[in-house]
Amino acid sequence: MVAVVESRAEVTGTELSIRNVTKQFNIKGKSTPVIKDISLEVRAGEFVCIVGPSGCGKSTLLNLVAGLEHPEEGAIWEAKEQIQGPSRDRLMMFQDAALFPWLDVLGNVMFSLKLAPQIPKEKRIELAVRYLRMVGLGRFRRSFVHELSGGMKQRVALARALAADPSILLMDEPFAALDAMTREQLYFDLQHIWMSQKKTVLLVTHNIREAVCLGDRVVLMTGSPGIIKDQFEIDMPRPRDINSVSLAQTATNITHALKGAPAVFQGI
Amino acid sequence: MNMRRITVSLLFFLVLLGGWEALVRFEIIDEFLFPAPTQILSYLIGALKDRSLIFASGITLKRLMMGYAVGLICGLPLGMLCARFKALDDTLGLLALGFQTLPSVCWVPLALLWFGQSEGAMLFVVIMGCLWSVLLAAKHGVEHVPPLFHRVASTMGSSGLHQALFVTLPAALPGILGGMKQGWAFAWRSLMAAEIYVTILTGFGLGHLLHYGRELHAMDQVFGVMLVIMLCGYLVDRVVFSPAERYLHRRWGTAA
Repeated sequence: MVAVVESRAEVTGTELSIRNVTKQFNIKGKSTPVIKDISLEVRAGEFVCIVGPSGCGKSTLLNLVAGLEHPEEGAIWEAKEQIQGPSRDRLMMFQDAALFPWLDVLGNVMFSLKLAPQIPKEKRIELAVRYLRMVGLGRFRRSFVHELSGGMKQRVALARALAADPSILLMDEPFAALDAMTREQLYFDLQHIWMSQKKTVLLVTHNIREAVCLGDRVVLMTGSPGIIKDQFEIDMPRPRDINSVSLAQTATNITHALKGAPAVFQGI
Repeated sequence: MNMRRITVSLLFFLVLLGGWEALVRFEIIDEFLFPAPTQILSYLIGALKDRSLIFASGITLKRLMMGYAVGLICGLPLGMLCARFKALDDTLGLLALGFQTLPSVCWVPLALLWFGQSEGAMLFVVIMGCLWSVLLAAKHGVEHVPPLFHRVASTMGSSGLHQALFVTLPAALPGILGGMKQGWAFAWRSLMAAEIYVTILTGFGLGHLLHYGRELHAMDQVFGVMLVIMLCGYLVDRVVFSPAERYLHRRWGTAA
């Protein structure tokens, strides 16, 4: 399942820079800040997980980075460019795979490839098939979308996102709707793919263990308005096992930090 | 369809036709008002031989196709634009909603005064009959596209016309097909109403044949033409819409 694919991302410097960003929504005619004065730097090739309770604004933050929404204050910079709107350089995956039912599996992966100008026409199919193989779905390229299970759909969405080779991959609770066994398999697969690609990833989740399992760094958010409460560097060898004791301990410590209680376990 | 269901259908129609034939033959019902199936059949064979039925069908279908085509060409893009631009929805969308509730035969007096007893009048009535329902169905089809599709497409770098053509349009297909089907049904009904109501000198359609059947009190002709009209509607549904619907259901995974 693991294949080495050359990636554009250089493993140096700051890839993404969120500077003093505030976002407000109109709720019942009153403008309410959803996230307030958030600053975050993400290094190129870094896997950052943003964790927080529902409604803390973590998905909003991801939408801002994707360019699907715009901040009232502050700015977000990708490399040296300020983010103005959506771009295929910052590809986003959602909780729902959102595959297009009028295309088959291969067609869905091809959709993003056709929008990537740097990929020559004749290489598209080859690339699409390669990424489908990487997520373990090489045999399903001609399947209809509704014939796939939830986990398989999310794999296709992952292949679709990776194939276009974005600078940053944004993932908004991509595993939240899956059953535990499928989820654990996908943690494993995603880690292997990431280790071979070293892509910059920003993943939002409410599952602290998931964040510890996947991330180089776990960013803790609380609401409301959403602010960054704390950050944790996770220095554990990969691939990590979500069920391992040390991982569970780290996750428990972060959970306590979230609740404001002192850490129970030592070693963060 | 399996053999059992085919047998049941076949049996039903045989009993229906046989019973009908018998009732007329034994003079329980008056053949002057209610001719037997065999009499209707002999009219149909005669009308096919003297070609009157074929000409009439050709003229009717030509009017229908032209009107329907105009209805689709105008209605589909306008409906999609209504879904996209609120200002258009608040103006043209409201107008469409109003016109859609107007039975299309109500356009006939106006059409006659504007266009005279001409093909133009027929075309106008058919277009007015189907345009608005096609427009509204296309609008609803687009409005029901999951917003997530647009967000996903946007983050993959799709925008503007590309997104309209390669995301919105295919995603709205189930709704649009429903609208096309409804538009077809409305076009068919409008044209029949118009043809029965008005004599157009440039060609006699199926509606006229039906009308003259009544004038001449040729009940076999009235029944025969009704049968042909029914058959045309059925065939279009079977040949065009049903396969398209089946295809979409298979793709979307919504088939039973």
